[in-house]
Amino acid sequence: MESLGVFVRLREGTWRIAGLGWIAVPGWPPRYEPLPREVLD
Amino acid sequence: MVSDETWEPRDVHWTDEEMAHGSSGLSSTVMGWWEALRRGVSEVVWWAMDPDFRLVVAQQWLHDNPAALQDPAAGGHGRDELAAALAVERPDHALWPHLERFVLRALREATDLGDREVGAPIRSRIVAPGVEVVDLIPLDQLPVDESGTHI
Repeated sequence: MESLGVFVRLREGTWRIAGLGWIAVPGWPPRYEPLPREVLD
Repeated sequence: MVSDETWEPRDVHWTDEEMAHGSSGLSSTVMGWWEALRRGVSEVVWWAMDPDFRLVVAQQWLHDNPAALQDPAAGGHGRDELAAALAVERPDHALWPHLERFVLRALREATDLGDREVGAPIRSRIVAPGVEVVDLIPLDQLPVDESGTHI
């Protein structure tokens, strides 16, 4: 899967379009592995 | 309750605050710009771009069209001066109509998705302080739930 990344930059309190780029997103949708229990503790 | 083993992003139930952010925040800003680009509203497209982004696009146009520097409308200005004059929020320079056509054509070509419908996630991603990225995702790449909603 790919997405069009639209980069935005905060400039004097206003978000402005700062760049564009195609971003490959392998394995979409992402699966988030749960943190090991010892990390959560 | 979702167990750790089966949890996926689609299991998240957004709070009212998160939904409000998604409808009025960065995603909305980016989608508005995207629509302006699709419709050819160059004033909005150009104004909404960061000054640095406008400047590099103006410089690219001058690089590709060096004859513009010799145009009487250039007023004898050098490359940097002319690029700066064209890169302002609301340019009224005599050469702007030429750059304007380039802006729409170049940005549309760079972002061409044909007639595919796109959507933006509720949350943007932080790249650096003051810089974030919003992913415009062609919806035909996303699975659809039983209600027809892309998830």
